[in-house]
Amino acid sequence: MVILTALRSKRRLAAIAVCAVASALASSAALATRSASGSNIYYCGYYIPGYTDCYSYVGDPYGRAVGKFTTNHAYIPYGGYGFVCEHTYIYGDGTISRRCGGNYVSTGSCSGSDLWPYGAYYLDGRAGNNQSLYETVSGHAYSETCV
Amino acid sequence: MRSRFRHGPRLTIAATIVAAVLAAGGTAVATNLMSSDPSLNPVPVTANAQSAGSWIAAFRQPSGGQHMTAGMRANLTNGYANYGPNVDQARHVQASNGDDAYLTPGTESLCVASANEAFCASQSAVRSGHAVAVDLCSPNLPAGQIEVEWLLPDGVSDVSLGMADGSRMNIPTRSNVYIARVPASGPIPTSIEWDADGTHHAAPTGVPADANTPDCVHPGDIPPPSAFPTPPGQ
Repeated sequence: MVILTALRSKRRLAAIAVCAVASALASSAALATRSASGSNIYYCGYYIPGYTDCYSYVGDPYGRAVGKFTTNHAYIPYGGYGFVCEHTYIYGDGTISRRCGGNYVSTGSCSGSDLWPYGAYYLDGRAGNNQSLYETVSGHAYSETCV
Repeated sequence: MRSRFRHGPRLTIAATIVAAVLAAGGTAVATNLMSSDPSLNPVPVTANAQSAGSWIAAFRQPSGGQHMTAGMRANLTNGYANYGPNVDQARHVQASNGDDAYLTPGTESLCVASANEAFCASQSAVRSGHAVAVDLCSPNLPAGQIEVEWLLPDGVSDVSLGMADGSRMNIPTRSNVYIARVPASGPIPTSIEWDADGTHHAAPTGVPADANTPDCVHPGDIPPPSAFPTPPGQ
């Protein structure tokens, strides 16, 4: 009985360990979608106050996109309607693109993108809520292969 | 002891399998989360000009999409894929400021591409005057300018921009596409105004209060990439 209980405890511990490892792996996989390590960066996604740039409000790395990319979108996910802005800087320097619009606004794409001339630079992409009400705002910055 | 050795490897194997499956699942879930975002999902390009023809005069004219530049086509097709823009059915129009513009039907939406702007909006947004895009800084926008571009349906008159100081800037009507540039140092345009069906209408421009972007730089103005810091982790 004692052995059986001990065995159950070990199995329980093992099960807990499995869950912990699995949970950690799943979490890291989920976070990977918002990482700033590549040229396909999903960021922000936070419910932020009006007239606020996501990064300025939340202050964490997922509030902006840092890297080399050619397109930056700001949008209200899940079909919401409102006003958003994208704002892209040369990393550590001035603004190269700032556009505002309805629930989806973009720097443009391929040779029509505001960011196209800056392919060699590290950029800092932001998304903001351009209305008085709180809103969930997301950002997506990525590099394109254009012909 | 015997039990420990009997169950240990099994548990280890089970743990490995479960962890691997969950990790893969996590990736799949993450991938699904990305693709389940409706604003990023491309939708089938099923739009045609017929549905827009009843309230946008340009769509009663022959297609002019073949005259769009490659950059304009790519800009709409790639950058706004989630609206399903059908560039082959685009119509050439002259915007209010005389610029060439291309109205493009999308899936329950309408898109426009011009020399400095491309955007899409739902049909309801166009009908209500909420289809608007604002450029505060871009390579083709001269320093110190704000550009507002918007769409309105047929049958409007007395189109203007309402400015923050209460003045109005009258805008000519040449088509459904309106483009205006104003100095960023002056009063900012706060509303789009027009008359239709005997009623005065107004909608916000979405120009932010801090529209004057003093740190706006252009491609020829900045030092080479080596002059800037490399971000941490890059």
